[in-house]
Amino acid sequence: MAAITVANKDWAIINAVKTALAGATIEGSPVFRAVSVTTSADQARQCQFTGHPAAVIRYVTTVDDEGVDGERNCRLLLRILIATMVDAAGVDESLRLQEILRLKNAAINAVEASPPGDSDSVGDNDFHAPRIHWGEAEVDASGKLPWAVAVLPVEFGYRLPAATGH
Amino acid sequence: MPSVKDPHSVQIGSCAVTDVLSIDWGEDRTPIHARADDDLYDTIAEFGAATVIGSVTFRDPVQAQSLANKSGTFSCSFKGMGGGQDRTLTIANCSTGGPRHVVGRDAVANAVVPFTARSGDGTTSPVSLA
Repeated sequence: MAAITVANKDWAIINAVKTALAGATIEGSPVFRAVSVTTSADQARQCQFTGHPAAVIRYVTTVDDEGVDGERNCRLLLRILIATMVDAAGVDESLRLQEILRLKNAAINAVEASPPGDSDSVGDNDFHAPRIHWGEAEVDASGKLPWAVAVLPVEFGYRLPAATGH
Repeated sequence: MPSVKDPHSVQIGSCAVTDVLSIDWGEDRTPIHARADDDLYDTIAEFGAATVIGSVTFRDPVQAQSLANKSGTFSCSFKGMGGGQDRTLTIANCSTGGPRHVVGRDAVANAVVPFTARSGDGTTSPVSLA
């Protein structure tokens, strides 16, 4: 048997994202009234969003690449689902889109203002992962009225000093 | 097929460095030509002393800077892959030059330190790969 230790950095980054979203305020008021973590796309879709605006952090996966001198360059992939209720029915989606985009951008600003301490820009000559990389958000402001929903992909780079440093 | 990868434990003299991305090297020998006359011209009789030229590419500019302008025996190790064994490269009578750096906006920095070595005679190679 081998004695090992576990750094669990991917969880530490998820927890830091959760803390950043839960602690974000605009003019003293919380941006999100409910922040939760899930691993299931179905669970995120079925969430009742009892408190809104809501942010649901969905863990997708972690990948790692062998780096220089035995280190591991890693990427953590998340989807942040943002949902809010907008009382503005009708063909014109302007108000619903404005609000869901405001919350999507607030989520980005919240994480960028308090980036996870374990995340870092990492790589070598055949692999590179920026500290934070925001993907293309999918916004649906009319399909689930009165809810407006945005799904925001995000990736975090981080470094492990050795293959046994996971 | 067996091969090697992952250069590590890079050292010249007593100066050890880390963060090496790649190493390239090549050995050249000057051809010594036979005598020439009207019937026989420019035939290679043998190769002369060996000159080795190569470079070490780093990710960390500071490590590259520390390897620059040194002299001694150069050595590094490679990991065997595809069933291949670990190997050690040794180059005698080696000296390094100044580094050349590239730092991009959104990529890993790259710094290259050139080195050269020369054999003491026409039959001995300064390069050993064991």
